[in-house]
Amino acid sequence: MTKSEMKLRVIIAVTETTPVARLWETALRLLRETPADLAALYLQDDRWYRVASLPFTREILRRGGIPVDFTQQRAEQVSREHAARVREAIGKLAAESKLEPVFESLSESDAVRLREFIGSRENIFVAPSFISTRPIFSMLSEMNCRIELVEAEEEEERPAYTLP
Amino acid sequence: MAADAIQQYHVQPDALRKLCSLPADFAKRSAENTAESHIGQQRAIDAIRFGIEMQRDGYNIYVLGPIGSNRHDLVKSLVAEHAKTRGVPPDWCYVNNFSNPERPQSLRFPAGQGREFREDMRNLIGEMQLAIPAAFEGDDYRNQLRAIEEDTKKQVEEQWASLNERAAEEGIGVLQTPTGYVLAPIVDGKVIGDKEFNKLPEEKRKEIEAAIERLSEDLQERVEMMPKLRKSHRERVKALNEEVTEHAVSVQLADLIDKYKSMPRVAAYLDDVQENIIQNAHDFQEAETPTLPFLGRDSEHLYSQYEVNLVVDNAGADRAPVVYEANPNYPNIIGRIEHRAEMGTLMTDFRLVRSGALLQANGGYLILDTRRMLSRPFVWEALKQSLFAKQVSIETPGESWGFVSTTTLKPEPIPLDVTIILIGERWLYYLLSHYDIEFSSLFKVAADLDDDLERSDDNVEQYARLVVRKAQARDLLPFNTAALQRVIEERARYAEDSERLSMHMSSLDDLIEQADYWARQHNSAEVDAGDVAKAVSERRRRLGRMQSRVIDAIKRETLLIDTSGECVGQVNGLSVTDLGDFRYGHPVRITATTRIGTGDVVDIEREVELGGAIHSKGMMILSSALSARYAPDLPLSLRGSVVFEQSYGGVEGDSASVAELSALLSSLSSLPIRQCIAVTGSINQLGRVQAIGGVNEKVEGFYDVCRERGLDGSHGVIIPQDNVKHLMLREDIVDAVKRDAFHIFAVRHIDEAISILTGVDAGERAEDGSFPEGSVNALVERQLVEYATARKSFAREAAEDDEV
Repeated sequence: MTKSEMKLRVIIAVTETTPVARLWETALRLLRETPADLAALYLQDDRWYRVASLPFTREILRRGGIPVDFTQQRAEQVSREHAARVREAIGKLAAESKLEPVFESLSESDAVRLREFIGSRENIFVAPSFISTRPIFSMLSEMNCRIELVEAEEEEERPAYTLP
Repeated sequence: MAADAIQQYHVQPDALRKLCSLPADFAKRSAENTAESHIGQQRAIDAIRFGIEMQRDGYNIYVLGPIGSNRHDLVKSLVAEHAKTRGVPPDWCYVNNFSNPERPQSLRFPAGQGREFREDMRNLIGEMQLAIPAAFEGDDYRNQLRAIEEDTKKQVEEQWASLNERAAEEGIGVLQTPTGYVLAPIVDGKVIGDKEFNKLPEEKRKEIEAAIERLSEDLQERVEMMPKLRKSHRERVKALNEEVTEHAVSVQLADLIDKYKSMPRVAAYLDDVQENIIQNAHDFQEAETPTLPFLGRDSEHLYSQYEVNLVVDNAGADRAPVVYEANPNYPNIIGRIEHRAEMGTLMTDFRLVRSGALLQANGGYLILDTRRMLSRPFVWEALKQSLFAKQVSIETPGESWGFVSTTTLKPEPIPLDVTIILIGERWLYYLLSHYDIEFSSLFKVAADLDDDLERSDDNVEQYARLVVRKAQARDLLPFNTAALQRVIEERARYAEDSERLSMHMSSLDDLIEQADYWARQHNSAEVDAGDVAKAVSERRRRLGRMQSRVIDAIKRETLLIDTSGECVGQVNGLSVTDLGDFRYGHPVRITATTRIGTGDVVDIEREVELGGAIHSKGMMILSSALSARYAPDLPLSLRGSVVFEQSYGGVEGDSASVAELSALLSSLSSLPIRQCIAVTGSINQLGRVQAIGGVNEKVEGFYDVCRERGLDGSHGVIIPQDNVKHLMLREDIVDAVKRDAFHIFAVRHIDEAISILTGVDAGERAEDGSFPEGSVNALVERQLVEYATARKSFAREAAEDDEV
């Protein structure tokens, strides 16, 4: 099967700090214009593993302020929890639109698996604008992928707090 | 015995059935002048009136009378009459006890005001449902709440902003995990790992570690401060909510508190309501639609806790309550606490407390059937407990008896002022009096209904008018005078006494209804005597299957009964079989054998435990009568044996003792007994014949057997003289007696009975102590002397043998 014979795929590329809603709107618009498959690519953030590699880092728990060691295992757990949260947000939007996108979680530094995922299909990436400074943007450009950048600020890293 | 001598014992036909005679136009006159429905019960009526007017402790009433004696109608009519003179009792409500919801509090209101209070509280709830959410949705509240939230938010943000600023100054980033925070070194805007960190100069590394250490302590302090900020925020919001709620409800509640200020307990309750609403102000601002369906009850519960459970409502009543509880089980008498299933759990609250008959009748009268009440578990003890305590505590029987340990409601007891009227059979009254030491102190008034009424001219007319009234009330055809006379006669028959009239009203109702049926069968415009007779005979036919089987068995000689000829030691006794609402008589063969012995008269029925206690007593009296009358100077050297032939069930009563003694005398004297005559009667030690029960059925039973075989003028029945007044025989028997086809003999002494049965004069003891030669008694005594002499001779020979 040649590239032209394979069905077009729209891929939403998100990080843990990406606001998903605006990307989703763009993806829907594209799907309305052209029949295509839908996929979501979660780009894992390696910073948790970097932090965990430092011997002195501690996690201060929100409940009680107790400090505990931040290990590689905990970094893996946090990364997974972030991915799950993003997946849940996308799943909720997909359910409202009656769509069933494929969800893939990959590390930005794992170029081999990223290339494998992109493959030889015709893909349109819907990604937040701040991704243009990241290495993956260069890789996608090299692979001649069409990229729709959506104006979305990276969510500010601030301590979560809700009123009682 | 000569026939003319026997003649003196004949009962004349006019004594066999006492006819009723009313004026010819009686029925017509009575149609417009009917009688009181409770004639002949004046003593019981006076007792009931005394009880219901005696408003003191323990003056509850027990009405003694059999089923069918119209006791319920009597009690209800008397009590209803007196209830008009007593005031209407108060209403009672159960409301939530906010400080202890497991113990709902009771509130008392003048009659009718309980319902009003319930409506007032419903209206209050309705107003609260609108006013409170409206207050919380108002701009004032929203603005104040927003101000509090923004203030809190500002405090929080200031905390984090200063932390982030300080961290950034030292090249440290604050990262957020799902459960907390991590401080990480940042170089060129990127979190660095150990490789990058180790490449840094040692001095820089130490600076970073020290900075993270300081910032960690700072972060911990700020995290620990968060709950305090939250608490402070909650308290400010709570105070605001209370202020808003109080403002919303105070207007409505103020009106109610003013309205009920004359009732201190009610006013105190309303104060509690206000306090509770304000304390729970936060709950009232929750959204109506719950997040999860099963949380729906929370919103419902919010308002329902202020509802009123009106357990006694006397609104509209104009007299004291008269309650009859047909099913006097525990919940129906005491009350119950219902439950509803919620998520697999049984829940209850003050709204599910239900009153029983005691509370419904509070301030009035409660009528109960004793037998039904006693047959329901726990009711009697609970009733007595309530009467002694003068209050009703609604609780489950399990809790009352201490069987249940789970938490449930314990409503506040309600004071009790009620007159209990128990209606029951006499034996239950005597049983309770004997075995329950508390009974007499709680039921001090006994109203004993008479079973029958003297058949005086005045009472007969009253009774006949009662029949007319009943016929009118039941929409029956009118009874003509002949029919009324016939009804009176049947009521005497029912009373088993020609001189009395039965007061068993349900059987009277049956008789007149059935007579009406038969009158309608031949399209009559009125009920005649023939219709009453038809009702009686048809009822007898419907219930007479067993009786006809017995007569058939006698006819086919399966049951051996001779009605002709003579036989030594064999006599026809008379027995009555009771089938509940029908009984019939029939002859039974009694035989006796005698021989030398030690003075024993063996009752075979007793030996095989088929004889009852009274029957055994009769046999012992008979034995004593025998030894007292004959050969008084000699030991009674007789062994007699008496048996009811072909009797396979139990034998009870002493009404066969004349027949049994007659069979023994026949055996001793060797004089045969005429089998065409049956005999009934009991006897005392002196040979006096005494009255027995069921005389009419017994005579009719023997008559029916003889009629089947053909009446030839020889047949008859010997009855005690004392039973003549009880005779109300069937008309066909009276006719037979008039034709000399059948005879009724009335006797006072065993000598008279044995004379009629044997045809030989019994004989009176002369001054020299002897009986006339050839008389029954002379022959009996001679036989007993022979037995005594022979026994003495045997004793002497035995003594000589022992000496040898």
